[in-house]
Amino acid sequence: MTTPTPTPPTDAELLAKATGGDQPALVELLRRHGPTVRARIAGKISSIWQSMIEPDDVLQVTYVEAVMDIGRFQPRHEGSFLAWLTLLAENNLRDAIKELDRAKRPSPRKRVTAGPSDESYVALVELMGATLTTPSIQAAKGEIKTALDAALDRLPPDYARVIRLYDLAGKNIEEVCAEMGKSQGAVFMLRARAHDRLKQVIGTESQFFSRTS
Amino acid sequence: MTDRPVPISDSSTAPPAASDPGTAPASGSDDQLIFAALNQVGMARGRPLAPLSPAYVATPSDDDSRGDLRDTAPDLIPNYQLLREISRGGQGIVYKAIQKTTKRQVAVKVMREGPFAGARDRIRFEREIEILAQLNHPNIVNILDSGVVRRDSGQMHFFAMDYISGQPLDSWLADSSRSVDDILKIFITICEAVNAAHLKGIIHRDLKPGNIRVDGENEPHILDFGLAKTATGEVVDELDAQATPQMMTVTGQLLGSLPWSSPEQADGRISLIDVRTDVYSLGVILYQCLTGRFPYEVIGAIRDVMNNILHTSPARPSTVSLPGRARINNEVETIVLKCLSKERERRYQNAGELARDLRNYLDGAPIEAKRDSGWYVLRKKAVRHRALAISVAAITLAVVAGGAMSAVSWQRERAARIDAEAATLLAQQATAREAAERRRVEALFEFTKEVLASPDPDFLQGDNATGALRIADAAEARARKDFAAEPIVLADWLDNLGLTRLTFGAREDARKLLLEAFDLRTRNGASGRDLAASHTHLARALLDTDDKAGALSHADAASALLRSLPASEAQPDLFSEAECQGGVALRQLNRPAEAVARLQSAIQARRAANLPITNFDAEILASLSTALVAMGNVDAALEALRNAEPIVLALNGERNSRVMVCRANTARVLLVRGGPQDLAEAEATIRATLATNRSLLTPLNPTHPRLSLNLDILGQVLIQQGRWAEATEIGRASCRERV
Repeated sequence: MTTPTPTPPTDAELLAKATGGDQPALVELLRRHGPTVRARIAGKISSIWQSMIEPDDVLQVTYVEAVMDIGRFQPRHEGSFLAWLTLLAENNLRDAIKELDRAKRPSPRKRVTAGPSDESYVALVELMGATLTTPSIQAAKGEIKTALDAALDRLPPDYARVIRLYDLAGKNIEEVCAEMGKSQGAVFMLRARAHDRLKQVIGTESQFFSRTS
Repeated sequence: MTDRPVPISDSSTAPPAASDPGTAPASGSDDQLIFAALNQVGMARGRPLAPLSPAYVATPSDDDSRGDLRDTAPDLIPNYQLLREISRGGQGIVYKAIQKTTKRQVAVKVMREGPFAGARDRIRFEREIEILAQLNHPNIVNILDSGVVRRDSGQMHFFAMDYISGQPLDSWLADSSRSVDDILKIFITICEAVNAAHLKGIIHRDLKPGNIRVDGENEPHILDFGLAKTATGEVVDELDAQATPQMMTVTGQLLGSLPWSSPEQADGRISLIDVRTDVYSLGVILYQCLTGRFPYEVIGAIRDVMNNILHTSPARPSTVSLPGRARINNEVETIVLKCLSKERERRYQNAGELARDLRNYLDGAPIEAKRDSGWYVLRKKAVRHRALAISVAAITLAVVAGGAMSAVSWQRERAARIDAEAATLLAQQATAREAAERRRVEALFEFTKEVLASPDPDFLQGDNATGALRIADAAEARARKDFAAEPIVLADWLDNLGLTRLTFGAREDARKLLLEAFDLRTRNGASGRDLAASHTHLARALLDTDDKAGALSHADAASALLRSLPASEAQPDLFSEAECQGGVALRQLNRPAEAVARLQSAIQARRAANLPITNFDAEILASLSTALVAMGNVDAALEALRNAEPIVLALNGERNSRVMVCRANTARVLLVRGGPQDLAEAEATIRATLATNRSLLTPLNPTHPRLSLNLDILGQVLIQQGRWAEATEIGRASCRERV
């Protein structure tokens, strides 16, 4: 028995499903528009950065972000999804390039610590800009470490890994790239997104930290 | 994210231009990136659990992050105060709510509205309600209420169920302090809940960690029967027939819960989906719970993932245990792997059986699951990669045996058996390293199995036998080295090599190897089938070394073991062999009536199972004829042999030792019957046989015992006919042959 070939669903139909949590619909949208975004991104990577970052690096993180945020996306017109996906990708690319550029001019404040310790966890929380209501970070740092570990566990593994290696273990960018098998641009991009996500999680966790006053 | 992406060019917000370079179809690389992203999002530390539970995908903290109702009015459903959205799936949205009349917390699932909420969705939604209403189990979410709300935009279906506070199974497992026993205990409860559904004829079909929620008292609850089906029911079947292709064609792949899908689901064989499909998914979940990984790679191009589900054997859980957690022992591993058998028949037949075996393990009782024998595993591999294995085995043979058989002609003969499937699978072979490893194992396997164990014994004489025995020696040494830590696999090899040596006539060596294999199997909890095989092979070896009573004892043990196997695991081929060995032993012990009964039982077992006709059928008939002669039933004996001859002739061709032996036996029985026509036929038959045997055997061994046996029969025929002078001359010739 042969199955009649169905009419492919339109973007709008898929988007309605995808924003409602239908993952196959989202996958289909990504498959449809990923190649376009890749082509657009490829045209925006200048020659000086081409050895540091590739369009697929950008797409990888872009897809992760898309999967995580599709539920919040509100389509406004027919090309909304492609525009949104492009926006995510360009934002990722921009952050990667910003960090690559900054890496050429190292700053002592760029890193929270030179090695893993409770202090590095506290410093990372500060770097995140999370509002810590405890007046005594010193007293609470054990809890911060525990909470931050828990928060990291909730991130996509690549996000958590880049923070652990780069921000907490204090490895240099080359070492992180080697360990993760990724380009410098990809690592910086992952870190930028990882910091965004970590801020969110810390935002909910920090209210449970000890208050010693 | 708190910060929305900021555009860096105006073009990014515009719809794609006509010339936009984006019309190329997604590639394998895209699939890989997408699937990796789905897994990234779904993973907890070291746990690629994933992607596929929309309710939890974007939810760092399931209870905290979705703290609003979006645009939904709190009083959307009469008598319920909606508090917040819990999850959102393709079928509906689930809210945490307060049931106003009882003031208790509940979960309310509301069918999604919009252009996709068609009649089929409504039927599916209603079916979930009906299914949940049928299920009354403490570990299955309980339905409380259902109804329809009329709105301007149309009807809105909903149902209310227990609100399960707690966390999804994958989050619960993230606590590294959970021991293996903790996990197994909770898993038993999960299996019992699933089994309760099975007993009502309900198959969940979408079991995954995201659909199992663990409450504060560590009690699991099965959720989301939205894809469940009942085992019977025309309406449901029709719905499935409609729904599944749709699900498949949205993306071209069945993506929904692919990593937990069974082979029959991944392959789209809807008609094969039954309770054992749930057993497979439970196996994947249990594997994840114990190891933190999937049984095979589920990240990558979707077609590769599907191929892994269909064909890739799971990595042994004991080799991928979670750091800091106790190593998975053999019995737990056996249980997990039984769930994950690609063939439904080899899995637990329902979730209740799985629960029972897990409890057996925890109670220290023997588990019912048995590990796949090494031969079974190797056979499966060999079937998949037959072409490769055959060619390597042929080369090995040519190099090592130094021409015991023409590798070219052998390869040509076997090449006919390479079918399209094998060629396709070969083309899909993974990495070079895997291929090399596979070749190493399969070459050895194919070599012993196909070359050494089943050639015409007449070729295994003199130098040829020496060469072939050298290969057997090499195979044995290698098996002892490679499988030193795998006693069951080693036993398989020794068993087969023992049979090989029997074929060569190295009977004492054969007996030792078979005994060692038997001992290894007994001590390491081999399956009933493997133990029965050992008994049967030992019976054969003991017959060859003239220990008839010992042979009968082993044959009886084999038959008894095989009779005790459940019908689903019946081994008619092995049973017929055991019965045949028992029959031969009985005949040699001068108990011909019992021998005939056993041999007829062997024939009947093969017929009943509709086994393909082989040389073994002829061997049983030949043994039967001997027993019948001993009973004095010569006519029946002759009939048995006349039935055997066409078999060996068709399978082996005219110039073959089996055909010659069969004809010589026929001549002998004709001689016993002794009528003038019988004697004439016996003479013609044995003279023709002798001539063929001389041409076949003389180049190999001029004093081959079969030549003198043929001459003896001819001499007796001549004596019966009163042709004394010719008989005397034949007698002299026989003496010369012997010398």
